[in-house]
Amino acid sequence: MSWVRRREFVLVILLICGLLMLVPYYFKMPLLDKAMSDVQNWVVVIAAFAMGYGALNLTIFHIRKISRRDEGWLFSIVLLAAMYAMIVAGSIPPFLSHPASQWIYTYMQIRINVTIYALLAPFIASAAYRAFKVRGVEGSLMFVSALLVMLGNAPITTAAWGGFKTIGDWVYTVPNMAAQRGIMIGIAIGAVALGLRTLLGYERASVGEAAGGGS
Amino acid sequence: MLVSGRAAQLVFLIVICFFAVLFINRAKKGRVPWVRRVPGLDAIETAIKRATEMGRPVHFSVGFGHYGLTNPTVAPQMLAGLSVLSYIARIAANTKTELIVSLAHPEMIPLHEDILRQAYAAEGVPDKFTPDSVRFLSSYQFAYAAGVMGLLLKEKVASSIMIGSFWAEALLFAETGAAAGIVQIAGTAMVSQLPFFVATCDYVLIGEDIYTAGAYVSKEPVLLGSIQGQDVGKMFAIAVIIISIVLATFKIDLLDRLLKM
Repeated sequence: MSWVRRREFVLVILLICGLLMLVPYYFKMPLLDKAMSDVQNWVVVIAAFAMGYGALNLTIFHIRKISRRDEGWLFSIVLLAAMYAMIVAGSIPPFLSHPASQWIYTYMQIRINVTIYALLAPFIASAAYRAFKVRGVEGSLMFVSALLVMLGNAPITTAAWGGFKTIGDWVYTVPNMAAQRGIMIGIAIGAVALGLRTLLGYERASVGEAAGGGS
Repeated sequence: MLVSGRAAQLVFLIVICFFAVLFINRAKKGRVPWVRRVPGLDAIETAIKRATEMGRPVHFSVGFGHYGLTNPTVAPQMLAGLSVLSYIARIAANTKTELIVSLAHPEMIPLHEDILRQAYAAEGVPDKFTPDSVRFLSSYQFAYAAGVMGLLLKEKVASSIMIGSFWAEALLFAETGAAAGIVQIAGTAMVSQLPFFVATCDYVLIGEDIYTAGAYVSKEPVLLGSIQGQDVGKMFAIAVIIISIVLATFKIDLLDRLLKM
């Protein structure tokens, strides 16, 4: 096996990069600050390079789909045409500020993005309907809490009785916040343990290795 | 030398790391800790076998997570998701179930492909791994969301497992899955997205559960040992909170000043 593919080599790089991020956070060391900044820049450069790999992955998958005439292959043609039209438009000087690139971005990409984002409104309503169906103690508690917060935020109810706002705010800022902080403390400690396992080489997913377990 | 205001954080970090290493070493010597059952993780195998019986695929995602592995808040969650992927892939390989992994960050494609390739090889079916299993959809949040929603419906996915960093796309995935009758197991440390998963998914891993997921499913003593160290860290945090409450009640700001050192 090539030495660059060896697990130990990857783990040493991981450990060095991890320590370069960790040590300057706690200690004032100008030399390490510069190294940390350089590593962060490399990460951004690698991520940018990977975009080409992503485009290649997408292209190969959809060309296979088109050549096999799989279900929905016409959509694959539309996807590839749209992707390469954007790449071509963005490659003409002055690149991303070229009118063609700007037009596609403003009148197509943003509009479609906003449309998908807008789906959240009906989805929230249907998810809330499912969640608030009273099915037990937890469901009842969730329903009552949600009702109190809603009553405390709706202008018509707070205009009818000011107490709704006080109760709604209390539910939101006391029991809700207490639970959220408890979860967040657990998350922070869990992240530290995961980071330690990764730096010590016990957590193998970070270097692309399959862990034990399975069937 | 020490950055002002971070001494207490460093002490916390050292305490957690000390106990994690201590319990890892104890686990290496054969004293494997007992770990409570996590229904969401126990349900993964059942969800995949359901897909096998139905002859339909399983979907896996580590979420969109803004800036992917370059974001320090998002990266640990995505790595936590990846630590479960090999377990999922090994069951999928063993049961000959199609596994579709969707991605929003192209820099993670090689990681996913390597994990899947090794998992299939470990189950003795290396030829069953196809690069089509790992699908980069888009690095734009809602384009990725649209891609996953389409994939769930068009590929007639039977089970969807989402463990990682999920943002506004969480509800778009989960509600689409719920409406299509897909068995969904989700987990994230994004507190703002947890209610959406609770409302729409069959099983939810809340917060720190996702960081223990890899250790839990692998059943490796060394990894389980680190979970015990994590629990000691939680007890330490609880003790600090209780002492803080008592001191604050008597208007003593000693601990407050110590924590700000």
